[in-house]
Amino acid sequence: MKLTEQEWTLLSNKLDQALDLPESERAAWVDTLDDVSGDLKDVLRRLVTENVDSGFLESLPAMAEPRGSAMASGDEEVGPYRLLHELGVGGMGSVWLAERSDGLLKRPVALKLPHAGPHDSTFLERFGRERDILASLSHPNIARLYDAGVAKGGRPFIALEYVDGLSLTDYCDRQKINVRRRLEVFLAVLDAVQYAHAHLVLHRDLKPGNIMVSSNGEVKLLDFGIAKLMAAGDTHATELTEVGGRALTLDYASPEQISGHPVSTSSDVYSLGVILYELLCGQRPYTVKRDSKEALREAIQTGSTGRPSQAIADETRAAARGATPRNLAAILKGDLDTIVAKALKGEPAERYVTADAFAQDIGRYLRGEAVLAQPESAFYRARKFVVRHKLPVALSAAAVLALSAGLGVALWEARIARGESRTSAAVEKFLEDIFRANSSDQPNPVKARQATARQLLDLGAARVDHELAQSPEAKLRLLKTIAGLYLDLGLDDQAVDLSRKRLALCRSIQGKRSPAVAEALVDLAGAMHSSQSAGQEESVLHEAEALLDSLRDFTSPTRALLDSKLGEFYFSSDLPRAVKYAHQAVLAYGAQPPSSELVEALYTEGLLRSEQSDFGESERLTSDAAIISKRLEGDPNPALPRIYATLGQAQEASMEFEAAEQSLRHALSAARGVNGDDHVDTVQTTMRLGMFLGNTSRPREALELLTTARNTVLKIRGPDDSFHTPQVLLEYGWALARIGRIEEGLESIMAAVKNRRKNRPGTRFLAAMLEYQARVLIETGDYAGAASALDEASAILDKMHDTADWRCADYRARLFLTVGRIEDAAPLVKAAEALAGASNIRSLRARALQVEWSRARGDSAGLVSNASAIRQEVAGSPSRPYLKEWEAMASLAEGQGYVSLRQPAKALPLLSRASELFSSMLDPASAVLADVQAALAECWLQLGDRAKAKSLLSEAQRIAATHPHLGVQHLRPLIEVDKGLRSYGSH
Amino acid sequence: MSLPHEPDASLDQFFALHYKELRQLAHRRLRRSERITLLDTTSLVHESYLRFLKARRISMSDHTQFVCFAARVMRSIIVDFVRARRAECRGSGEHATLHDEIAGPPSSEDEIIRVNDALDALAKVDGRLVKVVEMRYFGGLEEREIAESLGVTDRTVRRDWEKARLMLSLALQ
Repeated sequence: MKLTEQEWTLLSNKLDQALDLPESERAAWVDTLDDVSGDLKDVLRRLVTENVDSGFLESLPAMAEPRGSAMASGDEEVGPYRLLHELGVGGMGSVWLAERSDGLLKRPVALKLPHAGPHDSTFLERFGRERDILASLSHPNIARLYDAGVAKGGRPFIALEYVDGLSLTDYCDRQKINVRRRLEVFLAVLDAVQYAHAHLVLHRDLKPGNIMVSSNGEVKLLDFGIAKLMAAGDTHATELTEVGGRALTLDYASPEQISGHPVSTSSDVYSLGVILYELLCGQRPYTVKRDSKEALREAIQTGSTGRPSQAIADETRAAARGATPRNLAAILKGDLDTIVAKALKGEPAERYVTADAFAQDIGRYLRGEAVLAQPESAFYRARKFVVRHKLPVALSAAAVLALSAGLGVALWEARIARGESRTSAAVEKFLEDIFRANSSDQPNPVKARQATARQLLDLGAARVDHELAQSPEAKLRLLKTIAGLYLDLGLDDQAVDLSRKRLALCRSIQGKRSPAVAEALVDLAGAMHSSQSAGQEESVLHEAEALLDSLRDFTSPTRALLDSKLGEFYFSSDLPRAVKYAHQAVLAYGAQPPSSELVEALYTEGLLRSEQSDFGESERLTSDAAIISKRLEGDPNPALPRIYATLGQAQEASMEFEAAEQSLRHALSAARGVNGDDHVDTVQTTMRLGMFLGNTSRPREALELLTTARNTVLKIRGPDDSFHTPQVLLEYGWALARIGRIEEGLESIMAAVKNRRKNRPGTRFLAAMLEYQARVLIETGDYAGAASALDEASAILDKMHDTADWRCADYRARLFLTVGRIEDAAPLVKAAEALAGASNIRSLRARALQVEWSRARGDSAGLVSNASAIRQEVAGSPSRPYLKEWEAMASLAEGQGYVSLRQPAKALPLLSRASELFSSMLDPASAVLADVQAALAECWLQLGDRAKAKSLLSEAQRIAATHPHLGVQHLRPLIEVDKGLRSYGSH
Repeated sequence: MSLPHEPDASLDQFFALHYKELRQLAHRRLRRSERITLLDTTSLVHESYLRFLKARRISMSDHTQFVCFAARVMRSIIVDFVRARRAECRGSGEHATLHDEIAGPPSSEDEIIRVNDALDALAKVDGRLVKVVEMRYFGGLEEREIAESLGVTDRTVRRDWEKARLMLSLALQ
């Protein structure tokens, strides 16, 4: 349509206004315009009412012949092959039997022709990479990929080894193969999968149809990685979504595949689990109609998979396994059930870690040894539970009365209601028995006991309201006792409830300004701390503070308790203030004989000092706390886990690594000893030990521990817990990222951030998480994301006047350097320089930053000298084994420097060392390894060995390819080497 | 930490120097493949950025402005390409066939030319709109990248796009 410029301008302005209005009002608005000519008005009206075709302008049209409807037919030539006849059609394309037209190969091949469609255009690009990897898989049980390419007319094809035979399940059924033999066959499948995984190839579509057994009994896996290859151009599709209009089977897919999460080797393990299930009992763990993805997802994720031994076996199925229905169930029951269950766990982390681990357990079963997979135990939840503090000794008689009625113990005596009771000691003892840690003579009834204790408390709490109307004092004490017991059981919300009641009652009988009210306020705040009412804690605490101030009470136990709680409260939001209160509490308690409160106060101040980076002081305080605690309550006791954990962290920061490790391990064993495995203290100590191991160059062990911690915390606290879960998720994610599994790590970190944002926004904890998130985002190349995370973090920290945080500055500097903003990084690097002199972790970090600084500025000589200084210091340090990661980083950097200076002979030993060190610590798909290989490739190129360089480059590219997003800092070296290989051609 | 936005004039000056180089780069690359599609151009935009970066012609902070510029280059290249092919086709008597996706009478190549012409006409009417179309249609960039480059919000970009589609659908009738 031809319009003048004025008309367009007018139209443009009017459209702006029209689009501001809701859709339904636009046409009417147009009608009201009087500065627009009639014709134009029509045009405008039409524009705002008619919908533009949704595909319009969405993509740049391709400009060549369509692939669309061209169907293959017999005798047609596709590339070097001639089609013979169609073997089948699937969701992604058709398969034809074909032979080479030039007769070079006698053997027929299976030719896969992907369905034509919108993904053709980038097929080629992604294709090349994938093809090379798949073609390199050479294993007797994997069908070879011979060739893949694009024929004339732009027709892609994939040529695979043709296997004539039956699918695994059909073969086993027809030959009536028994269970043992089926397992042996399955082992061959696992072997093949393991091989492929070791070459960084996932199958992603394992199912019986892809496992063929030829007439001579040879097992061949088909279509490794083909799913990815076929969907190569369709960047938004997961392999399970509709391709070419047909849905793919979901029955063997893992939960994470279905929900579109990152897949890994565990996904293949899952599919193998489903296959094994089917092999064993002839059914699938669940079957779902093709179109109800949600139903399937639900079925899997609620873990409602049955056991193979319980699947209803009919005569035919049993006969196919050389058995009768009854003895089939007997064979499958027990270990085989357990093995299958482990492979089918909803959480990837809980499955067999590798196909090999899976195979080994099957091997054990076949040899009659004990399998490692553990069955779900009915009592997994609680083996022990223990009260955090000693029971308050002074139980009033009335309290005893109320509780005892629930116990069914007839201790009712009218006299008791009015004063001291002779029987209170007996009842006290009885209660203590209930609540004390389980001794070894009483194993399982604990669970029953725990239920009784809770019931007991609930009953007691209910009765408080009805009874004791005449004895308000007793009622007060009872409320306090029971609230305390609720807290000990971890039932914080109930404790808050009761504490409120107590406070109200206290005010009414003691008067609003009595010390008892202050005490009640403090207890209420304490109960709120980890409950749903956590937000109101501060005002309650300050109310208590104001009250005590007005009573001029600065030294009483109540005051001391208040100071401790205030310290704990400001822990996450105002560090200096928190320290002040914590220190006051120490002084107050310190003036009295040693008590568990003193221990607590020492611990709190020690923890806070540690947060302020005053590690020497922290060590002193927590050490004292440990000594006094052990003296008062023995070893282990419930206070020790966190005390030793904090001590360990302070020692770690001072680089006293042996001592730190000792402390942290002591913390963990104390936690386990007191609480068993399923308790938050055990989770915390496991987490911290894991963090320590990660910081001292043992990332794999760290991940193992953190995986355990994560599984446990999710189990005992759930994903929405606002305190423990996000911490663990963060560290777990960090451990994953550190080992090189950055996508999975990021996912976990982001879950933690999300949780914290919801539950504890604006706190130091959230800030810390954002910093970690930023650091990982730099690795994946999301620089804008990293910047915004850091901005958010510093906004929070600025508000808290927290200047001791090194991460923000360090990561920000790294981000600037990565994106080339040298000038912006300069002041941050300079500030770090000030710390570089000392001999501690901080200075190492600062110097590592200077290494990056040299690198970003292209100052190769500087890079070499800075990195070399770090390397030599680490190598000469008594803590060398703990600093392996630093040594590796420094060796890599120094090597890269020499490569830039074109001194490959000097670079080589350094890079080899770096490779050795990193390989021993990291996941094979870690991007760092790609960096190392790229550097080595460049090195060999300079030394003249192009073949070696090429193979190293391939390896690096292979690794890089496993990450959907990688920062340019990782990709650039690859491009460089590639370029170098090409331009060296004429030599 | 926000990326700097320099006034257009000096930016244009700077890029005028590199325009030619970028065009050459793109041509070489595109000539290799027979067809141009959106995904190709997007990766090309990013790849050329990397090359320029490596050659230290630009610094990372110019990224978003660079891609805006690169999209403009893409536009001119694509249009040239299409014109050339048309000439070829007319000469040989063949007619370019339709791609399945694009429905409706205008052939795919027609659409490109006409969008280009329409953008020329709209350049003085709404400059930002034209940039958005360049970056999205020719450059294949995402909303966020476009927003950052132009210094506006995602929402503004979406709105512009909505408007663009309306106006261009009109122009192409």
